[in-house]
Amino acid sequence: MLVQAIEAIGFGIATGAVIALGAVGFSVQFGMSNILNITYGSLMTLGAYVGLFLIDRGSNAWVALVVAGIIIGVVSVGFHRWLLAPLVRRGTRAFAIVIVTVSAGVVLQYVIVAFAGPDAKSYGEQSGQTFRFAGFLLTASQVTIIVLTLVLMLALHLLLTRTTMGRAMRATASNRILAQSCGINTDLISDTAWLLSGALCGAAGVALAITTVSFDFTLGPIFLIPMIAAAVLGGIGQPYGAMVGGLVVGIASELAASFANPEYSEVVAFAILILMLLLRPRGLFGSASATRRLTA
Amino acid sequence: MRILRNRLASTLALGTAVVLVACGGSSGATVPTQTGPLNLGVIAPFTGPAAEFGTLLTAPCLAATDLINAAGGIMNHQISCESIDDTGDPADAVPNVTKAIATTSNLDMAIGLESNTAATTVPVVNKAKIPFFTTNGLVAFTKNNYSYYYRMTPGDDANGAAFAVWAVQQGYKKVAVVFQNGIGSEGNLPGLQAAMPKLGGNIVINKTIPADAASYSAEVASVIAANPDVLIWSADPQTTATFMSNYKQLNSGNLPAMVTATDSLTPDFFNAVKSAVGLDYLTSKIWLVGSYFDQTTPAFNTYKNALLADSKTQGIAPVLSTVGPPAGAYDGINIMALAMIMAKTTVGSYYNQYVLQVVLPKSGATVVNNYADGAKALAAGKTIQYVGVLGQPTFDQYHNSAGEFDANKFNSDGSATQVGTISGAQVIKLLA
Amino acid sequence: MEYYVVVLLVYLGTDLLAAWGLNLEFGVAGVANLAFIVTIAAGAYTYAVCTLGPPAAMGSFQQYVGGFTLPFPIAVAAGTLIGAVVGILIGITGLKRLRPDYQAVAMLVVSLMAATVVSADTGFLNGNAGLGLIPAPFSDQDPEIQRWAFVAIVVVCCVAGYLVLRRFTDGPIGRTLRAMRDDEYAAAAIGKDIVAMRLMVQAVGGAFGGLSGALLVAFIGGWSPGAWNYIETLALLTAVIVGGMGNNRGVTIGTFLIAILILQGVQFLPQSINTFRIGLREDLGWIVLGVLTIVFIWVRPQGVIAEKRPKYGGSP
Repeated sequence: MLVQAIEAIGFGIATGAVIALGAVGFSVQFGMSNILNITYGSLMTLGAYVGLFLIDRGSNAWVALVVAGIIIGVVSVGFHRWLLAPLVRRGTRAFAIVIVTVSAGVVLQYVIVAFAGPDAKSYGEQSGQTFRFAGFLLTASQVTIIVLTLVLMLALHLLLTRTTMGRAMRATASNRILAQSCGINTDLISDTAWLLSGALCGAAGVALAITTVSFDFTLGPIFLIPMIAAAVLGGIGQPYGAMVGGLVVGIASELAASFANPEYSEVVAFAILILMLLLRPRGLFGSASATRRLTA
Repeated sequence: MRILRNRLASTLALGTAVVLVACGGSSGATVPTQTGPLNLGVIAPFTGPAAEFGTLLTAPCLAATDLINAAGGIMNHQISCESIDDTGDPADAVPNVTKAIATTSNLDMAIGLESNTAATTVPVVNKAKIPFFTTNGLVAFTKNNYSYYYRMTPGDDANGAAFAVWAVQQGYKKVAVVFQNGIGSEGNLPGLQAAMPKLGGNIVINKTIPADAASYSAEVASVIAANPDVLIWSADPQTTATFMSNYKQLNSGNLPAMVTATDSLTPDFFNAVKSAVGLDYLTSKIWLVGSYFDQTTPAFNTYKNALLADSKTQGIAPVLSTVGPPAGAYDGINIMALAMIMAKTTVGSYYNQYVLQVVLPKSGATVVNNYADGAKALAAGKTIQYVGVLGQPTFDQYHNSAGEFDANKFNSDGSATQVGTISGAQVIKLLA
Repeated sequence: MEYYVVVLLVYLGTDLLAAWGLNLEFGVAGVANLAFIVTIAAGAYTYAVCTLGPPAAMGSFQQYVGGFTLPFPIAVAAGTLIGAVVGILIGITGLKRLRPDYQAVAMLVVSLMAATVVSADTGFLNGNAGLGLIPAPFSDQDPEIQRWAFVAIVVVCCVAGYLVLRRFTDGPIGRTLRAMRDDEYAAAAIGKDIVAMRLMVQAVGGAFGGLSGALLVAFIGGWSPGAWNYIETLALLTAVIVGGMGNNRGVTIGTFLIAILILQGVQFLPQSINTFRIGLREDLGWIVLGVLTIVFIWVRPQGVIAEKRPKYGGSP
C-alpha cells in the first residue's frame, strides 16, 4: 500500500512538472494582463505540432522544445497585441473577452486539424532509461522535464526580482497607470510578458507531447483545466504558487488513479479548481489583493 | 441550385413512371424506376473523436462502386459514394442524415451507421425505407424490428466472449482486462465476463481507464502488481500508445501479450503503437480477434485489387483489406446491388425483400463472388448465391449474421495475417 | 424532404427553448452559465428513464436507474422539473461572487465534471453508450400524423414558453434582473434579494433547458454523453451573442442564424471540399462559428438586434 502510494507520488511529480510549466505561463499572462486566456490550450497544441514538424525533419526533441517555445511566444504577442488588447481598450467586458479566447481556441484547433488531420501523432520513443530511486520510478525524459521546469522557474524568479525589466513587469502588473506615470513603457513590458508566457506555453505543449507519447489536436484543451486549477490553487499571478499548484494537482490525480476509479482522476483537477474558486479564490499563496482581482 | 434540380428530377422520374428498356423493365411490371446516377450513403463520423471511421468506411464504398461502375453500373445506372457525417454526436447526426436523405437524389442504399450514433440514425434510415448494412456492434440491435437493417459484423458481446475463448485457447490463465471507457468496450465487457468463468479462466484485474490521459502510470502499476499473463484490451490508438509506453517503462521493458479486437487493425493504431513502443511488440505479441474471413478466396482478391486500383484507397489497401467491418460493408453493397437487379428496380422499398434471397443457399444456384459475375448470371436468367469476402452469411430473423471468428497477427506493414479460428457456435453458446 | 422539414422545425423549436433559457440567465440576469447544457441533458435523461421500462424488461442491454414507463406528458413535465432542480444546483455553485470570466470557467468545469461522472458510472445512465430505443409519443399512429403532431406539440411548448418567458424578461421581474446584471450592489442596496433572484433565474432557465432536452430526446429516440459536449453550450452562447443579448427576438434570430443557417448550411457546400481532407467541410462549420463570434464581439457586441434600453419619461 505504502509502496503504491510512493510510486503514485513519483508519477504525480512527473505529471505535475508538466502541469506546472504550463500553469506558470498562464499565471504570468493573467498577472500581466488580467485576461483569462483560454486560447492558451490551443496554443499549447500548436506548440506540440510545431515540435512534431521539427522532429519529423530530424530535430532533437529538446531543440524542438526551445524553437516551439519561441514561435508560440511570438504568436502570443501578436494575438494579444492585435486581438485582445484592442478589445480591452474599447472597454469590452471581461466575459466577452473570455468568449473571444474560447472561440479563437476553437478556430485554432480546427485549423490545426484541417492541416494535420485528426489521427494520433507521436514524437516516437523518447523516454530514455528508467531510474528507480527512493521508491520513485522515473524515465530520463521525465527527469529532464522536472529539471527544466525548475530551471525555468528559477530563471523567471531571477528575472522578476533582480532585473530592471522584471521590476518593471511587476509594477505594470500591479498598477498599470502608476507604472506608466513612472515612465515605464507598459506596452513594451506587456509584449515582453506575453512573449515569455507564450514561450512557456509552447514549451509546455512540447513537454506534454513528450510525456503522453501519443497525442492529437485535442491535446492542449484537455490539459488546460488542470493547469488553470494549478494556477488558481497556487494563487493566480504567482509563478511559485503555480509550481506548487502543479505538483499538488499532479500528485492528487495520480493518487486518485491509483487507489480509486481511474476515471475519476480527471475529476480531481476539476474539483480542486471549483473548491478553490468557491472557498479561497486567492489561492494558497496569493495576496489579499489577488482576491479582489478574482471576485466581482 | 442543386436542391431544386434534384427535386425536379425526382418529380419527373416519379411522374412519368415509364419503364425504360435500358433499366431492364419487364412487361406489365409496376415497379417504379429512377433516372440518373445512384447514390450510396456512407453514414459515419467524418469529424469528432471517431473521425477515423469516416475514411475507413469510405474505402470499401469506393472499391465496390468502382467495380460496379466498371461492370456497367446497376441496370445502367452509375453509382457513387455520398459521405454523410454523423459527427459522433447522436443529436447532431439526425439533422445531417435527414438532410442527406431529403436532398440526395436516388439515395437507395447505405452503409455505416456507427456505434456512437446508431441509436438515433438507424430509426431515421429505416423510416426512409433505405436498405442499409450497418457496421455498429451494439448489443441493442441483437434483437430488433427494423426491416431495412442488416448487419454482418458480430455484436460487441459476442466479440467479448471470443476474446475469452482465444485467451484460454492460447493457454493463458490469469487475465487482466483493461478497457477504455466507451461504447465499444462497454459492450465487450459483459460478454467477456460471462464467458470467462465457463472456460475456466480467471480475471485477475478489471480496470476501466479514461481516454487520452497524459499518463497511465498508476493504472499500469496496479496491472503489473496483479501479475497477469495476458492483457485483454480495447482502447483507441492514442490511449493504447500512452498506456503501453508507460507499461514498458515500469516493467523493465517487458510488455504483456495482448488480445484485442480487429477494430484495432487500423493504420492509426498501428502507427501510434509503433512510434511508442516499436514494431516488434506489434508483430509478435498482439492478437486481433474479429470476424473470420479467408484471405485466399477470389472474393477477397477482387476486393483487395479494387482497393489497390483506386488512387484514393491505394495507400491504406494492405491494412484495410484485412479488417472485418469494411469488408462487410463491401459485401453489403454488392448484395444490395444484386438485389436491385433481381427486383428490377433501384427503389429501396421494392428491392428490400430480395436482399436476403441474394445470399440464401439454394440448390441449382450459381455461386458468385463479386458483383460483375452476379449481374451477368442474373442477366442470363440464372439464380445466384453471393458468397463474398466474409464468406457465406447466415442471417437470423433479426437480420444479423455473426459468422465465425478468427485471430490475426500484425505484419510489419500494418496488414494482418490470420493465425487461428474461433467457432461462432461456441461463442453464441457461451453467451446464452 | 418533408421529413427533413419536420426535423428542422423540431430542432429549431428545441434550440429556441434552450436559447431563451440561456438568454434569461445570461443575457437578462447576467449569470454566466456555461454549464447550461447540463440542464438540457438532465431533461433528456429524465424523459428517457421515465418512459423506458425497467432495464431487465428490454434484455438488460442498457443499465440505468428508473424505468417507470410513464406516459409522454408526465415524462416531459418530469424532465422540465428536473431541469429546474439541476439549474438551481448549478446556481448554488455560482453564488460566490466571482469575476464573470472566472465564473464562466467554473461553470465550464461543472459541465465537464457532470459529463465525466455520467460517463464513468455505467449503472447510472448507461455511461458512454447512452440510452436508446426511447419511446416517442403517438407511436401507434400513422407515421406522418405522428411527425406533424409532434411538431404541433413543439410549437405549443414554444408559444407557451415564450409567454412564460416574457413575464420574466419584461415587466417588473425583468427590470429587477437587469438591475442585478448591471450593478449588483446597487440592486442589493435598494432591497432586492439577490440570492433569491439568481436562484429563481437558474430554476426557470433550467426548466427551459430541461423541456428542450426532453422534447428533443422524445423525437430522436437516443441520448448519450456525446450529445452534450461543452461545445454545444458555446454554439448556444454564440446564438445569444450574435442575435442580441437580453432580448428574445434577437436571440430567436441568433438561434436561427447559428443552428440552422450555419451548422446546417455547411452541409450544402459541395462535397469537393472534402477531397482536400475528409471532414474539412464540417471543420469549416466550427471555424466559421468561432470567427463569427469574434467578429460580432469586435464589431457589434450588442448583437443583431440590440436590447432596447427602456426609456423612463423625462431626460434620456
